[in-house]
Amino acid sequence: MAIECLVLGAGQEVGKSCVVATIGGKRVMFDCGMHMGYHDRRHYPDFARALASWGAPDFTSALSCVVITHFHLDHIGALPYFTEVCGYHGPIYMTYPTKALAPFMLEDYRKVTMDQRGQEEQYSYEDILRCMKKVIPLDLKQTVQVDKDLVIRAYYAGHVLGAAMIYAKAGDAAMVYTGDYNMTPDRHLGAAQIDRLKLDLLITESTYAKTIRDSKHAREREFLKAVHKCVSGGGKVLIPTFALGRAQELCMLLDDYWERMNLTVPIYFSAGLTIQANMYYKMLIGWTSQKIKDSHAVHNPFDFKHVCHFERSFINNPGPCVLFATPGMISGGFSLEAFKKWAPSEKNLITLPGYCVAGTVGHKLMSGKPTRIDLDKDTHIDVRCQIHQLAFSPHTDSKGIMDLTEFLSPKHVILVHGEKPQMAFLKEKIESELGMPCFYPANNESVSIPTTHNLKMSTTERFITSCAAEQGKQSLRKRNLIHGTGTSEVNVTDEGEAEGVLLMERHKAPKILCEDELLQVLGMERHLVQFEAMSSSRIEAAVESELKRAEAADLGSEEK
Amino acid sequence: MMGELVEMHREFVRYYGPDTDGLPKWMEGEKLNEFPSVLQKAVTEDKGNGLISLMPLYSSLKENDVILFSDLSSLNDMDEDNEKLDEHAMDETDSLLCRHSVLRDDGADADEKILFLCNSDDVTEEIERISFICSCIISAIKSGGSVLIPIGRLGVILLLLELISETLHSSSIKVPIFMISETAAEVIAFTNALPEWLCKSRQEKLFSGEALFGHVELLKEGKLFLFPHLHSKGLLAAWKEPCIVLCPHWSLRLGPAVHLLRRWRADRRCLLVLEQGSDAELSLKPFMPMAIRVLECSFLSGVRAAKIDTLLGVLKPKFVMLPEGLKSRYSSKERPWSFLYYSKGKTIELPNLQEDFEVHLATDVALGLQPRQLNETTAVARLRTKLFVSSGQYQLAAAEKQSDQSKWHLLQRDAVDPDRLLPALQEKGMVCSFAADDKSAGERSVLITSPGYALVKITSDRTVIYCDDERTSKHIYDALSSVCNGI
Repeated sequence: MAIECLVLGAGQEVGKSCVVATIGGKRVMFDCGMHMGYHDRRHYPDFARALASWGAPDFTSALSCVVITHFHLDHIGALPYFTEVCGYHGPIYMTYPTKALAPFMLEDYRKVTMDQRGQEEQYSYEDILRCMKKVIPLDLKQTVQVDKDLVIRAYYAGHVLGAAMIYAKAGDAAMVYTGDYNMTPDRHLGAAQIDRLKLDLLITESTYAKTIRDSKHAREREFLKAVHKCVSGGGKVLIPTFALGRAQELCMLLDDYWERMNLTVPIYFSAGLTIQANMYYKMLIGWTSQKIKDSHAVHNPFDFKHVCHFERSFINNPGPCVLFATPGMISGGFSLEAFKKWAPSEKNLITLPGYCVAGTVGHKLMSGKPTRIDLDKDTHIDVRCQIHQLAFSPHTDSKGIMDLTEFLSPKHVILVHGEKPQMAFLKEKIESELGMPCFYPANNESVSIPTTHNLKMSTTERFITSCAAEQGKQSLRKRNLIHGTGTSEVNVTDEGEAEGVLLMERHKAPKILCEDELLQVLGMERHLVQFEAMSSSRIEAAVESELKRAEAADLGSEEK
Repeated sequence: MMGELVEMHREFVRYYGPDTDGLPKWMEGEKLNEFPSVLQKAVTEDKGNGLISLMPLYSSLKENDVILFSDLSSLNDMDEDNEKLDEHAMDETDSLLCRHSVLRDDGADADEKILFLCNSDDVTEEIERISFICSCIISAIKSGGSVLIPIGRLGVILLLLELISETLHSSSIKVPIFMISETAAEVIAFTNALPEWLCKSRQEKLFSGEALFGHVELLKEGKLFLFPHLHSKGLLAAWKEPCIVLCPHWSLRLGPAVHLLRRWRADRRCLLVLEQGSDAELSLKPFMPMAIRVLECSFLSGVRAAKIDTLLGVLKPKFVMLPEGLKSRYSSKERPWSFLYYSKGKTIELPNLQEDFEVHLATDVALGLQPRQLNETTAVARLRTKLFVSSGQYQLAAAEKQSDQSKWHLLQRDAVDPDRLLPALQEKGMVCSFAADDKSAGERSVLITSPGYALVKITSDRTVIYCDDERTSKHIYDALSSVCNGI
C-alpha cells in the first residue's frame, strides 16, 4: 500500500492549488484553484491529463470526493469549472464559512474578468450557484465518513475565516493537507490547531519557506502611523483590498485606533460586497479568534462604529477619509476609479497589499516609485501620492511550518504552494533537522509514499493481559532502577515482549492465543526442552557409561 | 389537535370554573375559524420521519454496544405511540430512507430524500402548537391586554418570537416585545452566530445571506427590546402597554415574572402563557384571586417512543438500557437486542461484551512468522512481539530479541517419538544411537558422538539436551521439533 500524490497545481509555484492523493485506493482532490497570473490554458489545473492518466471514464468515478480548504480563488477558483464544465458530480466538502463566502468570491472575480478582458466565459453565475448547491458543509473536527473506507476531518487553520486543514484516512494510511494556514493568531482569527495525528504524509503550504517574520505589532503601528499622518494632514487614504479577510482585519485595527485616538474622520467601505461580508463575519463568530468569541455577545467587533454609509459620489468630497475599495490589486473596479481621482495629490495615501500579480496597477506601484502610470493609450495618471506597502500576511512563516511538521511528525512531507528555491531550502531543513523525507514536486508530477500496513486480527483477553503484565513488570523494574531501591537488573533490554501463538484454521479468521489457550483448543501438550551443559568429565563419564550400557544391550539382544 | 383543545378547555374550566368569563374568547366559533391550519389539518400519522434529520448524527454512533436512554421525558408519549411501534418497523419507505442516510451522511444528491427537521411531522405539530399560542397572544393584545410568557425553553421562545412578529406585522399591530433576563442579550447574540448547529433550512439562510433568526430584524427595527432586569436603565422609557414580555422564571417564584404577574393578574384582558408540567395550581396560588387568562401548553421534548425502534434499527446495539418503569411496556421480544432496566441507586452489571480483542499486527512481523501445518485444516505459528496501544488500538510490533535459549518447550499433539528422532538426527549428519534405557522410568536416551558429543534424554513430557556446543544443540533441537507434531 502507498499514498500516490499527484500535484495538479501549486507545485513549485503559488496559484491554482490542486493535489490529488490516492490513499488506500481512494482518490481525493484537495483544493481546486485557479491561477490569477495566467489567462490561457494554464489558468486551471490540467484536469484532462490527470483523467487520462487514471484511465477512468469520468471524474465522478475517478474521485471519491473533492475537499476545499478555504474560499481564496487560488484554492476554489476552478471548482465551478470542474463541476459544471468537466462534469464532476461526486461529493464536495468545505467548511460552513467557505460555503457561505465562496460564491461571493467566485462571482466577484467572474464579473471583474468579464468586464476587463472580454474573456471567453468559463462558467456562468448559474454555474456557480449550481456548484455551490452540491457542497456538503463541514464543521471543525467533525469526522465525515465519505464512504465505507474513507474518512475526512477538518481542523482550524487560521488564515481566513473558515480555512481548514484536512485530515484524510483510508485503511491504515493517513495524511493531512494543510491548505494555507497561520500559526499565530491575528486580530480576528485564531492560530491553526490540530491534533497529534499519526500520519504517513503531510502536504503543507510553503509560501514563506525561508522567511521568519518579526513582530506584528511593529508592522501594525507603522500602518496606523502612516494612515493617521495622512488624515491629520487632510489627505484621503485608499485601501484597496479583497472584500474578505484583510479588509476586516484592517478595519478592526482602524476602528480600534479611531476609538482610542478619538478620531472622527469617516471610514468607508466601497462595495456592498464588503458590507455583506461583514454580516457573514458577524454570523460566523464561532470561526474567529477566542478573544472575539468571548466578547461578541457584548460587543460584536464586526459592528464597526466608525464605518459610515458610502455613496460613489463621495470620492469627490473634500476633506480627509479612509476608503476600503475592491479589488485589491487595483486591477479595475472601484479601487481603480478612486485611484485615478486621488493619486495625483501628494496629500493622499495608497496602501498596497503584500502581493500583486504582474500586470496590475498594484504591481506597477510596487516595483519602484513610478510618477506616472499609463492605463492605456489615452489615460495617464500622475502619481504623486504616498504609497505604503502592507506587510501583513495570513500565512505561516518558516518557523511555523517547521513547528507544525515537528508536532505532527509525519513519515513523509510534501511541500506545495511556494517558490522553488525557497522550497528546496525548506526541504533540506526538514530532512536534516527533522529527519523526514521531503518532496516538492512540480505541477503534474506525482510522488509515491510507502505506508505501513497492518493486519487486523482477533486475540484473546488473556494474550493482551499477559503482554500487559510483561510490560508492567518491565516498568516496575525500571522504576526500581530509577529510584535505586532494587538490585541492578541485567534484563532491561527485554522490553516486555510476550509470546503467543498465531492459530490459522481453514474457514476461520486467524487468531492470536496464549500457549495455554492453544493447548486447550487443540488438545496439545507441552513438552519441555532443556539445554544443559556438561563438563567434559561428565560427558566422558556419561558416554562411557552409555557405551557400556549399549554394549550390554547389544550383548543382550544377541543373546536373544 | 381538536382533542387537545377540548382537553385544554376542560382544564381551564376545572381551574377557573365555568363562571369566570364564559368561554374564553378563542374558544368561540368565529375565532376558531381564524386558525384553520391548526384545526383542519388532520394530524398525520407519525411515521418516524423526524429521525431522518438525526441520521447523520447517529450514523457515527453505529455499532454501539449499549444505548442508554437517560431522560425519562424522552419517552413521554409511550402509551399512545406504543401500538404504532410494530407497524413502523415494517414500513419499507422508512427503512429505505434510513439506509440511505446512513450510507451517505448528507450527500448533496440525497437532498430530496432527506427531510429537513422542520418538515418532519413532530416539528410541524410543534409549530402548529406554537402558532396556536401565538394566535391566543394576538387576541389578548387586540383586546388591549398584555402577555406574560415565563417559559424557559429557548427553542420555543425563538419560534414564538418569529411567529408573533409575523402575525403582528400582518395584522398591523404595533406592540413592543420585551425580553427581560440577565442572559437575554447573550442568548440572542449566540443564536445568530451558531449556524452549524441549526437545522438545514436555517443553514440555507446562512448560505443565501440572510440572518438565521427573525429576531435580528426585530432588534434592528426596534420591535424587540432586551433588558437584563426590570429596573434596567431605559426600560421605563421603552415600556408601553399592551406589550409582550418574555422573562424568567417558569416557577413564578422568582425573576421579573413575579412582579409582572402581580401587575396584570386582575386584568382579564391579559394573558399568561405557562408550560404544562409544573403544578400550575400551586404556582398560581400566591397570585389568587386572579382574572388574567392562563394558557397552559405542552411542548415536545426528546425522542418519541415510536422512533426508538427506527433509531435502534440503525444503531444495532447489543443492549439497550431503559428505566425500570418501562419494563412492562417495552420488551425485547423479537428484537435483536436485549433490554436492561435501570433504577435509581442500583448498580447494573453489564455482561462482558468483549470476548475477542482486535490487534493490529505489523506486516513485517506477519511476514517473519514461520507457520507450521498441524493437519490439513490447521496451522500454527509462534509469535514473539511487543504490544503497544495507540489511539485506542492494540498494535503488535516486532520483538527486538529472540527468546532465551536456556529453556525452550514444544507444544505437541502426540508425545515425542524417540524412534523418529534418530533418523531425523542422522539426516542432519549426526552419528547417533540409542543408549540403553531404563525403560521402567519411561526415559529414552540418544547418544550423539559426531560432530560432537551430546546426550538427549527423552521422557513423555520433557527432553533434556546435554551438550556443550551451541550449534550442535540447536541442530538437535531442530531435529526434535521436526519430528514432533507441533511447534
